[in-house]
Amino acid sequence: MGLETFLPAADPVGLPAPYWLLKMLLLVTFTLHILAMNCMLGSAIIAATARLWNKSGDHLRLAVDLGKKIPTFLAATVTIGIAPLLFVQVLYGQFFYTSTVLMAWFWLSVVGLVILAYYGFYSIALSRHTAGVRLTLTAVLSVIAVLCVAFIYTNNFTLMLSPEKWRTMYLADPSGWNLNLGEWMVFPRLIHSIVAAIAIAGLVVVVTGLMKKRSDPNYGVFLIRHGATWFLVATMAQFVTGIWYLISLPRDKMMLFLGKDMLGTGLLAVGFIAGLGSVMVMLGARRTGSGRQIAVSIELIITTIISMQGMRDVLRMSYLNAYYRPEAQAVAPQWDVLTIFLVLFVAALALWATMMKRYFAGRLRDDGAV
Amino acid sequence: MNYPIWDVAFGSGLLIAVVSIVHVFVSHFAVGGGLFLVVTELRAYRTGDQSLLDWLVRHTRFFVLISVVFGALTGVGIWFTIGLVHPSGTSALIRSFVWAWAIEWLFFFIEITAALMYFYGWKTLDRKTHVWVGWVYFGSAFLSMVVINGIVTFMLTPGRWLETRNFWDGFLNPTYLPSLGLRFAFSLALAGVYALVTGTRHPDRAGRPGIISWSTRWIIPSFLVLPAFAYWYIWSLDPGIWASAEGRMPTASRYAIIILFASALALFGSLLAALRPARFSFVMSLVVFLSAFATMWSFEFIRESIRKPYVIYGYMYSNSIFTRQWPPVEHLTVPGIRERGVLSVAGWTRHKAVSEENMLDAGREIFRLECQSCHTIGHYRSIRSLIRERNWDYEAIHVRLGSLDKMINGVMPPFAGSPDERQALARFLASLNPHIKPAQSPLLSGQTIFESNCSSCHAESPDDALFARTQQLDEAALFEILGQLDSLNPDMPPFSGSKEERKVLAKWIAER
Repeated sequence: MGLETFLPAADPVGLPAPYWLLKMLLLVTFTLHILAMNCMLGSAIIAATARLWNKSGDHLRLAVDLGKKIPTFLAATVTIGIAPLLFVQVLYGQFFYTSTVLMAWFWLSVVGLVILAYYGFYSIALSRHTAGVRLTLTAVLSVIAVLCVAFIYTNNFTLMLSPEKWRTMYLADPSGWNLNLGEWMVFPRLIHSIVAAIAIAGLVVVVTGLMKKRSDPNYGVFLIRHGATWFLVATMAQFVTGIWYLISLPRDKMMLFLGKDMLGTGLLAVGFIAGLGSVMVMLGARRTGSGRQIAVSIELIITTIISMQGMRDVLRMSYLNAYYRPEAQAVAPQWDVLTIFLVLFVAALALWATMMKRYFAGRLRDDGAV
Repeated sequence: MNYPIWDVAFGSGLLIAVVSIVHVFVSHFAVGGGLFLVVTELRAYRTGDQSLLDWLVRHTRFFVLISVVFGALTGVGIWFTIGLVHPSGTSALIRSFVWAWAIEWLFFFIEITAALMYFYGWKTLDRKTHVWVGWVYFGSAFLSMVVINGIVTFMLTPGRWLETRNFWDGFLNPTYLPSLGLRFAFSLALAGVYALVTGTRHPDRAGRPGIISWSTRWIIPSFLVLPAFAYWYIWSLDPGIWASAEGRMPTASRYAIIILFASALALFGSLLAALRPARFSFVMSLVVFLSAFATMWSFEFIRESIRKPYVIYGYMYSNSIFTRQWPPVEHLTVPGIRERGVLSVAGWTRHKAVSEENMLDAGREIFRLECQSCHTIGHYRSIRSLIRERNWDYEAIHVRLGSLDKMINGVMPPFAGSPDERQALARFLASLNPHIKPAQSPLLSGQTIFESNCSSCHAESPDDALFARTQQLDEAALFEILGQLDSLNPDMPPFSGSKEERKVLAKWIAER
């Protein structure tokens, strides 16, 4: 049966803005969401490992300090994540909705899993105790819940790229219990994302160390070294998982990043070189504890993250090209409401900055709560 | 139709109801509760009431853990659920109101940041900054209600949008303002209701009566103005829509009664608390809490029920069929589907045409496509129970499928499909009632026979066509007419009872 007979038609309400603008908003907000998610997931993994490790007082102290930040990171992940989810539905609704229906129960379970993890992280952050089996168990279970969410997301966002599988899958099971496990690339893609989160959270630890260095030099140095180790090991592992992910792609998709497509190849080159540069600089920073070197390393790794999001989009569009023509989409721009959004966006950023400024200026004492 | 249908055995509609009602009960608290926090904080500073302040710090923790975590996530949960159950409806909303949602997202972002700052700031911020953060929280939470209210009300009363497709016509629709008033007033009441619950658990027993008394000052005035907004809301509706809650549709009418009792109980409980704050217990606060929950539950159920048979009133039926032809889905209308056949139009079916061999299977697939957004086979809004109660056979079902939209409860979309597909669906539905009961006893009353045979399309009212047009007819003439219903009107099924029953029914109608 031809795809055209069941591929859902685009919504009769036209795109509410030009394609490029919606796409840009999708990519920008998704990158911000990924940064917050990396801080949250990676910090949760590092904090849980530190609890399990618990070799010295510093490890436990790190787990406690990081544990206080995780609920805020999770709040940022969820809040920022709403925007890209909105734009992906506007642009690619007919693909996204279909794949979610196919795996409906898993997709819906994301809500429950995040609530569980959220309360788990909060119970650790607000606990009167710093250590204990209950806290360690909660930390581990919360990490597992978030990892399940990552697994489900990876399944959905790869399944939406494969319309040719949908009909067979649906007719075999219309009750929403499908996953995209037949697609081998799901696993390296998932692992590549998780390891990235660990690397970024390593930087969170490094930055925390920089901030603590003045008030508590020994602990500050421990944090910088410990965080840098996580960052270095994870980022170097990314060269392996990244190659694994690349070769798990169908050959024509893989070649997009190896010369066939200028943009794809360029993005991979930039991401690779910036990632390598970040590792080199951090190797030095781990020894010296230099704030300047740490900043450069962070800038370089953010460049890598941005280029990876670009690559993700090149890959998505190469899958969807057969069924989706951006220029064929009906557009019915709502310029007036869009203008209000943009004005409010700037106002919200200004208010948010003022809030942060007043919050930190108005603090009577720093207990490391946020 | 355009999308695959998620097959939920116990009813996908029920899933939406549970997720969304739990969410709104928390999200309304998040708005009114925000104002409550900052006003109560100022009151505690002004009166120097340390006990009130201590309680407020604990209450903030409760507030954040409920609203920032559970409220926010169940809000995302509604979005997930409607996308799964009604992808076409969700897509229409997202495409039409993406900038409203994007604006709401900005307010939400500020709201969450402010909530966390307010919570963590109790220990670390100076009073002035803390109060300022509280105001920022409330302002952004209220504005997010201002935005989302436009989208929620649009679904029931899209107003001029149906013609103009203009954002503002849809957003500032006929029920926008009364709904905003209703929701905001209820959110203020909920601020007090939740505060009663934590107030009755305040460790400082001496401080409890003051908190309880203060909480009731939020509930009682709000509950007193709610009827005015409710009246305005109902007044803004097309009278045909509200008729569903006035007896025409059982679900909406039942909840219209429950909401009166539930809100009266919540108000009564709050009055007791106001009169005897020192004797008001935690259990009593839970009674008020549950009554308020039942009020919200009923309101949302009424709103959802009276919208039937549409998911977006006048634009898209509950089963995702459009009321008009819109490119590129021109074929997804009732006439379009009747012409091409639903199995051929929907890509997500095993059978593409009906044959003698696949009749039951194809009927099952048509049921999933056209009926399952509201009905299940054996659970929520069970079609099997309905058919068994009414003792409908194939013939009775087949005829009724031709006039679903003429049913008296006004909640059914027309059947969309070819004649073969109508047969297949009727065969499948009839197979759910394999043991047709023998003809009913002639001793049954006319009322019972009327209810089994006529009441799905006719009301027992002098205004109904059945009674209006037969006023001048005697029992004998009615008896004759009952014997040839299908030839008088092709939408009517032939009378399926015995001759004795026909007599009893004719006599009963003649006596009305």
